[in-house]
Amino acid sequence: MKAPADPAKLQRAALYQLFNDLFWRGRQTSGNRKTSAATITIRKGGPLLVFGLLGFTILIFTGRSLPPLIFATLVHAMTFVMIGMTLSASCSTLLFNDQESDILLHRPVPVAFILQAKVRVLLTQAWLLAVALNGVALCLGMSRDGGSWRYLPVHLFTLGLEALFVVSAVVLAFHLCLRLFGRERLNSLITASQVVIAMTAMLGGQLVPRLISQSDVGNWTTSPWLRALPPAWFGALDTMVVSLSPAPELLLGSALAIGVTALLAWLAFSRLAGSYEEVAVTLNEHTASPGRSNARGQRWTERLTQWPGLRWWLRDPVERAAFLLAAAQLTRARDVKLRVYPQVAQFAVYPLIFLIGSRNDGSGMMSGFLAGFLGTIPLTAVSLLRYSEEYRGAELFRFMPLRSPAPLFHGARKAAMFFVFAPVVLLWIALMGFIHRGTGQLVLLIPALLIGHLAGMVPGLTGSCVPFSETQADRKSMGQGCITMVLSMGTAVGVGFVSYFAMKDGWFGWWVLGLACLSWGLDMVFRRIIRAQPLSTDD
Amino acid sequence: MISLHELTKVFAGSTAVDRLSLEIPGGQIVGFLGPNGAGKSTTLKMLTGMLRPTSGTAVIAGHDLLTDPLAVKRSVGFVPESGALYESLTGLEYLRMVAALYGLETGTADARIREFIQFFELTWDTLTDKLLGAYSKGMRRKVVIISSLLHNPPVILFDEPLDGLDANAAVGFKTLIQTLARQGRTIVYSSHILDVVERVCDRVVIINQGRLVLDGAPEALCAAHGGIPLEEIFTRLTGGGQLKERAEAFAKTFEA
Repeated sequence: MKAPADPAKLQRAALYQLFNDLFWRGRQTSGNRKTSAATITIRKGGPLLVFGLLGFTILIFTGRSLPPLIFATLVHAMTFVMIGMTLSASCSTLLFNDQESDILLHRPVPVAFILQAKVRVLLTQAWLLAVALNGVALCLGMSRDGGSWRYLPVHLFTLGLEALFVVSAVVLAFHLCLRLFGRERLNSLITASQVVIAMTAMLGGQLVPRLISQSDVGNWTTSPWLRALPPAWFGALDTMVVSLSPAPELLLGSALAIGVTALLAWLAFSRLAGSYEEVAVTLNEHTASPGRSNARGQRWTERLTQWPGLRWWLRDPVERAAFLLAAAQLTRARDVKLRVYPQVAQFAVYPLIFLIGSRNDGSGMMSGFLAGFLGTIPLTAVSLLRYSEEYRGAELFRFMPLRSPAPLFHGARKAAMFFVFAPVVLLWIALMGFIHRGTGQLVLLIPALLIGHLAGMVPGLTGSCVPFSETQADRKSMGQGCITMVLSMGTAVGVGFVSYFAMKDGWFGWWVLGLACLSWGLDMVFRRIIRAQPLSTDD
Repeated sequence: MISLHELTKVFAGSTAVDRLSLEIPGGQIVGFLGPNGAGKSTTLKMLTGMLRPTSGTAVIAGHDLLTDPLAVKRSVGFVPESGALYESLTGLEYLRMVAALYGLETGTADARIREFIQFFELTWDTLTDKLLGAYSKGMRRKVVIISSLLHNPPVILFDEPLDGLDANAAVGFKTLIQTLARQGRTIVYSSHILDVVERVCDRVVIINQGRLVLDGAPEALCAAHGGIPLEEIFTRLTGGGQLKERAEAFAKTFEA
């Protein structure tokens, strides 16, 4: 007779299955489309393919005769940044979800099981994505000079260790933020933590290869800072096992990789795990802060729209209402903040690094290129404003007496321009002025602003124009998003380069004039297309 | 079956539930009433172990809530007002997951689920083919109710369970809970629909501003208040006086 299953084992398996499904499918779907669970799973498997393709970037290094340690370190630096960014984008919604309490907290499951299942899912997915990303690197590592078949098992192992390191670090960072700053501001803290983690991962991923390529990396004695870089530790472990060389610096790096990972994992999942239950309960208790209103009950965003310039810009009452809605979501809704700000942070951080790297370049070529790159921010920001956990609220627009979703779209678009694009542009102006010690290259921003304005309209041409009406699971195929992004980015960067040559050859004024006329024409066409879009995606 | 003594919950200086004491024996359906913000949902969440009481004690199905919350959770079935679900799962995936959390194996769970879907007039194909996000409100509610009863709990807590159910499903559901109570289960039924509470419940408890203001059988309460209906007793006790006059006066503002 079959023995009854161990309830704890059943619970652990069910929770792992649940969070694994949620990781790949998303937490919500509006059900607007008849999408089967299998289709969603396949669609969400797309990241593995994308990561596999991104792995080809390692081929950039194959032309060089890099020492094994440097090759291994660069491979791990690439893995760190990609896995770090992916986890920081998905980690907090998986770890801390305020709706989860109504589904799980009244079931007879220890909260520790919930945390363990989530961590197992994060670890497994991080490792799978890391393996997909490292497919090319694995082949290179075995076939290059000094390579060996041993690279395959040892690199798969170090990728697992690295996944554990990254997951532990992310979980620990959330725990520490909660401990240090208290639980009253839990939601905003989680958002802030995630943005910081995403930016740290990107900065680290950019800075490490630069530091490595500018230093005497083969020698840890002359480059002691290498010991402080986690990718170098994992690279040392790879190199030591593959070359069977017990060199002291490799031994030290390997010991750091294993020791620090073990310490982080212990701190994150054992020492601080007790606070997770408190957090889960707190999320259930959490009541949103009412915020500050003036005597007439107006919030700061509403007062902002009373400024003469903005009042004119938002003279259409529906646009103004959509602007205020988007402003509220951008400043208060955790899921929207987590989606928008880390994504936009990439656009702020990458150019910043290049800008600093080009500080001695007086030609302005890099500035032109980066200004063009900046122009794609509105595309990303406006695209992301389609999605919300509160997507059911958008039903309101469908029975309003509106002929078209255009004013709703433009209101949300203007909020993205005002609250996301404008601050990044201002930051850029300050940085360019500071780094290049002058304002000569600032005019290169004019084409970027024109392109940015048009890029912000592109999401209205390619998908639903009703803001906050879809869930992440409703996202159209990754391919379509990638094509739109690549085309827009190519256009923006092309405009940046042409701007540079135009300035260099003295026809910049004509170029800006021509571009302004073209933008005006395209603006009219885009507005007409958006006006003709249906209010409901079911129409 | 449920014994509360001086149960209190304070959120950031605001008292949501204030020294609530109650004894509910097995086999009883208790209507748990109160105006918005009275502390009903907070009380129910404390009874399910989702919220920790600030002070006081609660014993549910013989288990102390503070010292053995997991045993309490095993004994309780709960339908939350929010009706939250994981929308990217199919109905069957969701119910199997919940069953596993109560230690039910897939075979046992499936047999039980089939009985429920027959009762609630759902189909197996709907449960397997459609994601919960695509379900109608009534179907979602049925799934939440099934998930609360799968493990055959001795204590069942309902927070607005009829929300979204059609008339036929509601009639079936009311008969079901009356039968479950006759089998000895304790049922706490929180709702704003006083007619239903009056018809279904053996006893009515009204709380206001976190405090118990009335407790008794519906007929006895009506008789003690001069034969007025429960609805009127409720409005008197919870500060909703002159509602009709206020509504009529407000309706006049539409004439302009």
